[in-house]
This record gives sequence, C-alpha cells and structure tokens, in this order.
Amino acid sequence: MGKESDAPRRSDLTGGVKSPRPHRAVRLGGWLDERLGLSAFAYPVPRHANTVAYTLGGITLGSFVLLVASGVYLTQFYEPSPARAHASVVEITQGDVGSVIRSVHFWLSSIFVATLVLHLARTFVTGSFKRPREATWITGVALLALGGGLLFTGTILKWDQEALEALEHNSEIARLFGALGFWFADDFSRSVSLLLRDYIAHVSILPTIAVFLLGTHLFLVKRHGVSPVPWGDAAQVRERARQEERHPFTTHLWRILYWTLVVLGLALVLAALRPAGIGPEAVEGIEITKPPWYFLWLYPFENWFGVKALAIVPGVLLAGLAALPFLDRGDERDPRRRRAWVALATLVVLAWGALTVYAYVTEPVAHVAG
Amino acid sequence: MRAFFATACVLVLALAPLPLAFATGGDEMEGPQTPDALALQALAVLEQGLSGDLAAEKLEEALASKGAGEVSPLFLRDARRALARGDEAAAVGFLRRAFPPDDQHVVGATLRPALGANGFTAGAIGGLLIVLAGAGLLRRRAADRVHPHAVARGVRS
Repeated sequence: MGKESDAPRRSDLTGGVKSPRPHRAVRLGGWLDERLGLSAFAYPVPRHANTVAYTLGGITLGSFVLLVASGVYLTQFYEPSPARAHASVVEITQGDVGSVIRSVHFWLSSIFVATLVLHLARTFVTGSFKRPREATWITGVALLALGGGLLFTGTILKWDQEALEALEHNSEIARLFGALGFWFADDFSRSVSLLLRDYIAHVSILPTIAVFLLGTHLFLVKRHGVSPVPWGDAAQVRERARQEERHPFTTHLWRILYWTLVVLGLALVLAALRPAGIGPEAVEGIEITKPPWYFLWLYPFENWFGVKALAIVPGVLLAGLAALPFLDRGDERDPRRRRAWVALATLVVLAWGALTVYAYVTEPVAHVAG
Repeated sequence: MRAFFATACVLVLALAPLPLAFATGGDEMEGPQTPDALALQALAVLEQGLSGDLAAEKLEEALASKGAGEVSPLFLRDARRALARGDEAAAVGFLRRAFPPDDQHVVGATLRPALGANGFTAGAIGGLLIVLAGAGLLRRRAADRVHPHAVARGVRS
C-alpha cells in the first residue's frame, strides 16, 4: 500500500485527461472490425425493428444456427445406412447426452417452423413484401420451401415406421414426376442408398442452398432497410419512416442473441418434459402413421385426392406466395386498407388449422403401401 | 405492366402442376393389396393402440383378397372373431401366429427415454437460460428508454 508503481498510468498516457474507457466487448468488437471489416454488415435500424414482431426473422435465423450446431453433434453418431440407421438413432436416444441433443434438435425444428411461419405472417400483414422488397420476399418463400425440405428429409433419417412411410411417399411423388423425379428413384445410384442420399440432402445440399439464399435475403434486407411500420396511408407511412429514430445495428443483434437463448432454453425445457422418441423399426408394405404436425394439414388432401395432392397443393401454395408481391401491388401497407388480401390470408390460416385438427382426429389411411 | 404481371402470375399458377401431366405413377390407390400386407396393417394398427374397427376392416379386406400370400387364413379368421367380441389382445396373438415363424413382422412401439438426471439437468439449464435471456431483453428495453441509442432519423420507406 502506498508504494508507487513505475508503470505509466492511463491518465499519464492521455496527457492527464481522463477519457471514458470503452467496455471490453466494444474494444474486442473494434479489434475484430479493424481486421475483418464486420461493420460492413451493419446498418442503422429503425426503433420498431427491435420489437418482437420485427425480430422474428432473426429468431428464425438463430433457431437455424442452433439446429446446425445440434445436427453436427448428431452426425457424429448417426449411421446413414438402411441396415444401421434405426439402431444408431436408438443408441443416440438411449445415451445421456445424445438423448438430450436429439430432443433439442427435434424441438428446435418445431420452433423453427413456428417462428418462420410467424415471420412470414408478419411480413404479409405489414405489407413488407411490397416494392422494393419483392426479391426479399421471394428469397424468403424459397427459404420456406427449403425449410420444408429440411424437415421432410430429417423425418426420413430416423428410419422408423414413420420415416419409411415418408420415403415411400417421396418415391411415389418422384414417380409421378416421371423422368423429372430421377434423383429420388431407387435405381438412380445403385451403390448409394436412397437413405444415404436423403442424408446428404439433409446435411449438405439443402443447408448449402439455404446459406446462399439466406445470405441473399440478409443482403437484401440491408440493401432496402427494415420495412416501415404500416399504419396509415402511404404518405403517412413514408413520413413516419422519415421521422423515426434509428438505432445501431448492434441493438438489434443483442435482441436476436437474447431471443435465440430463449429459444435454446425453451428447446431444453421441452426436451426434458417430452424427449423425442423413435418409432418402431419400419415394416414395408404397411401405412399406419401420420406425418409430423407441420405436414399434417396435407394429410386430408392426400385422403381426398391421392398422393398427387402432396405435389400439387404445396406447389400451388408456394407459387401463390411467390406471386403475391406482383398481385398485391398497391402502395398501401396498412392491413386495414388491404382487407380483401387479409381476409384471404385469414381464410388460408383458418383452413390450415381446420385441416390440421381434422387430420389429427381421423384414422390413418393407407395411400402408398401395399 | 400490371396486366402483364397479373397474366404471368396466373400462368405460373396454372402451369405449376404441368409436370404431373408426364406422370407415370400415381395409380397406387387403385392397386389391390396382398393379404400379407393387409394382415400386417391390421397387426400394426392394434400394436399402435389404434381403432379395432380399422384393424377389423383390414382383416376383412385380407380375407377377401384373392392375392397369394404366406399368411394363414385360419388365424386371420380367428383374429377377426376375437376382434368381433372386443378381445384385441387375443386378436394380436392370432395375428402374430398367422405369419410364418421367421417373418419380421413385429411392429413394436415408440421408444421414448424417461426423464432422468440428464433430462432434469437439461430442463434446469433451459429454465435458467430463459430467465437470464429474458432479463437481458428487459435490460436492453430499459436501456433504450433511459439512454436512447438513436443515431439518426430514418429516410427509407
């Protein structure tokens, strides 16, 4: 105590003037930015971008990152061969850590779907797909389709009864497409099983395309900025956007980070309360399961129109979504001024809910087995 | 221009199912199922705890089917009678015996791990994460109110 150090004090280095020293995280950010140019990704965001509704896209991205991380762990123990796939999933499910990670992966996929659909709904309601954001919307719709592909291929990997039935549907749809469905045909590659190709699609092909599309989507969000609050007529919306405060991008990033941690926490709690199970080893020639909840709405269509409906209905829905910015082209973003479109969307949502409940309560029916 | 886009969109929607015109498959709904497959479906339906009526329907179809199979019609009839008197356990027993002994027909049940120490730990960590992240979100919200981070006024719409 009382002994002076020879080392220069900070106030000496600054000529006796005490300047507030930035927080350690800020200094680390500055150090990284100087070398990596991370600030090139940043842009000021309007105040409303930090509300939950406008953070849904970021939460979906956070869920995707968590899915990739938990998926990487699972690939270390999963064997994508028809002879061993089911047994390896059983081993993962019986393991202490593997069981939790698999359950977290399972629940994250459901949370991912929920936030993705809510993000889409928010974008629709607030008219955020309108000029000049048409391409942002279309890449979002493509990401939705890709998300569906990831969920479907993931369902098959379990290689239980549900998985085999999903694969049989996949093969049947491929046959419907004739030569165009060649990639899903058993004889496309005699040395690599369809299961292994599905696995490659799940862990490599689809995520690669998703990253490319995601990069484009995020670039376009930065290019056009966060869409304005939609209330009022077009002039009011423009004026409010001009007046609104803008915050540093990091304020938005922090919220996305915190929400991603909430998602992870939720997935862990759900994994503890209801661990992901695995169905029985598949028996060919029977059809006794129904699809996971996010595909359940398609089940009645298959009952009514056969397996063709599984190709037509999602195709028409996605084409309709992609065409939306070119159909609802007016300046108005306020949902109260786009009542016809909002009514149509409400009908679609109600139909989705009703079809899901109807499919849940009906008995399973054989469509492709036999 | 608007009419062009509308026409293009209608065309895209109309042509979306076009590849199905080249379909070569898709008639699976009309194809008859073998007695083996139908009996397996009945067994699977019962093993999964689904409707006994559905299983009975499958058995009726299996018995009415003219296709060749390895499944024993005698045991199928016994299973059907058991179902008629509501004895699903007996029906499962008969159905198991209806197949050749070396047949891999057992459907099994869903394996779901019980909540053990690992599950409890995961749940506790999850709960803690939610609380901490929730606190972080509230802190940021409060910080925005007390010390606005505003850097500029917006210009885009």
